[in-house]
Amino acid sequence: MRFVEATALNDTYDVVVIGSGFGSLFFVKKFLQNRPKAKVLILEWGRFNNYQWKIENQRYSDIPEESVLDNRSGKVWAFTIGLGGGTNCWWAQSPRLHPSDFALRTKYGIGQDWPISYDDLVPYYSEAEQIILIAGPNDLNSVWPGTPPYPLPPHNMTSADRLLKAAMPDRHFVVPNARLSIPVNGRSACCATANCSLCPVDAKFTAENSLDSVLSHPQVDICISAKVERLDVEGGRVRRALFRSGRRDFAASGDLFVLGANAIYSPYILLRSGIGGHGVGRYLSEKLFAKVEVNLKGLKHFDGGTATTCFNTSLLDGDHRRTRGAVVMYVENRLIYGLRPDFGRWREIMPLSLYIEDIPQETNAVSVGEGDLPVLEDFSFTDYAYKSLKASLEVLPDLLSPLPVESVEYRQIWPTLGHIQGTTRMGLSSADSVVDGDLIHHTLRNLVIVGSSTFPTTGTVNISLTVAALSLRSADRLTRSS
Amino acid sequence: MISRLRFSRRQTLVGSLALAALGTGTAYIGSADANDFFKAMVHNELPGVKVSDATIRAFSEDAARGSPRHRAAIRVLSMGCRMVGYSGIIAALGHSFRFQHFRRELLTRFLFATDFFQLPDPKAAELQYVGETIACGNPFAQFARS
Repeated sequence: MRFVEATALNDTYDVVVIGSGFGSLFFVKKFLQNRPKAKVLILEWGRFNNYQWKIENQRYSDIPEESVLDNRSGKVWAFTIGLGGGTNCWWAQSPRLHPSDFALRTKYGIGQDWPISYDDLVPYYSEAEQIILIAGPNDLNSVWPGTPPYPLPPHNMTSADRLLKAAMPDRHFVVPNARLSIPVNGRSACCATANCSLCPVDAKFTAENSLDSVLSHPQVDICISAKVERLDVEGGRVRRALFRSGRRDFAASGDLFVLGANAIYSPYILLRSGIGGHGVGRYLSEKLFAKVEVNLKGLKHFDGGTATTCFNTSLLDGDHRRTRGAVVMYVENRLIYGLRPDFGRWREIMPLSLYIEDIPQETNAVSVGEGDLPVLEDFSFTDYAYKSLKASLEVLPDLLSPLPVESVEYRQIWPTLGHIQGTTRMGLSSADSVVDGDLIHHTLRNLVIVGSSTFPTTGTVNISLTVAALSLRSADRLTRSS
Repeated sequence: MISRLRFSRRQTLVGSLALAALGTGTAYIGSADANDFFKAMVHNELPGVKVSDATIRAFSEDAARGSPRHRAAIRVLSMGCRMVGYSGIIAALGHSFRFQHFRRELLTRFLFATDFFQLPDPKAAELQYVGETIACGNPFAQFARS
């Protein structure tokens, strides 16, 4: 990696990238693949804390996220400020969005359609899955058409999963994920520690262990501790990224600007720069994340091969999405609340996670306050999500009937799923969104916004793979068209 | 006018003894440490399992390395144990989801920090403390890597 000091920046770069998470690095990867001579500068607010530092300190960053928000929302928001961004703290589940997630308005008359379809993203999903080295099963084409074999074999199911799979072969699947199922290139395979955010054996994909081809590319300069404050616009184009490093102000000039500072800071930078489009900073959203435990009779759980073993699509797509959200049920092979406290029946309990779609609300917003931090006002989920939680809890006993179930116990709504979305949405024009389907700003055509801030709807599953695929597609189309 | 309080020798003696008892009781409760709660928890949750004081002490030292809130909660529970016993705590807090979570988590950590799940009959031999691990901590995991 070539780190450059802010004081040493003289050149005009071909690409100036703000932030270094999934969105940014997968964009740079494809951009340099197609234009290997382009000069790229990555501006990262955080520092480079290597794997050893993270394990020793049991945290991802030396800048706690709560210290950089004026959070009045009553909700927790999770992200990482540091080189690699969300690749540091993610849990590595890597499903694709469902085809219907891209056409919610057309199919169910609610929410917003994406300006691209699932089919548009298929080749880039496949490419991202190869780069990330996803371990997954080979029976997912019925859910996600066009899924080629995953590069690594799937992780082991639990005994409970096997019973559910036998009863619902087309609805219960091993979760594709970015934790190695076999050792690769000196990295260990996952050993089911279930502390994936700080994987103690480095089995999880991170920028540090897997994107060295980007971070150490000879054409890439990295400037850390560089906090971008605003973008300087002139003549209908972004000209410079204005940033602070230490106590001094600096500017980085470039031809193309890629903004990937997460779904709170990307809109914050736009708002401070006076850059518009419909809904900048608005439609802040997450999925509702609920926890359930199932008491089992005589069936022992926790014998799967990784932290989360399977997902179930029974409550995913269908006409119910007209009035309530899609739900994906994950089977957890980790001790979220501990073993069952009954002597000898320790393992007769199965934790579940429910990811519940919500409709983004314009009133849930990031704004610029009087201070130097983004302000998050009141945040609320809608009845669209809550109704779905209630309906899910009602049908779970039936859904789980292939198992010897004693009781199904709802536990809680978890404080965050860590999937911040929706504040610079993609759409057809600046009347309904901020960027187009290629992630290019509708009016400032040398500004690309990457990351989950561009999602028009929450979708149903984990977001990082889709963020990576969107960035690969954006960079590919941009480099091929100009 | 403030009237002077007058105590008989007997009242003074009884009062002094009561104050001393209160002080001793407070000191006794106040001196509770994590070991008290863990000892009570292990003996109540694992009836018939042989666990040495050294094992409990080793676990309580490891568990005490948690967050300040975590340590404070254990200390309060330890004092509670000295006052009303483990069963009294369960009676008082057993319906609290947060307490149940806390209790299950601690019990799970204790079991995983010993050889409990490696023994064919954990009541037959004394548990050995092996310590908490940060990696590969699920003793039930099965891997498909042939």
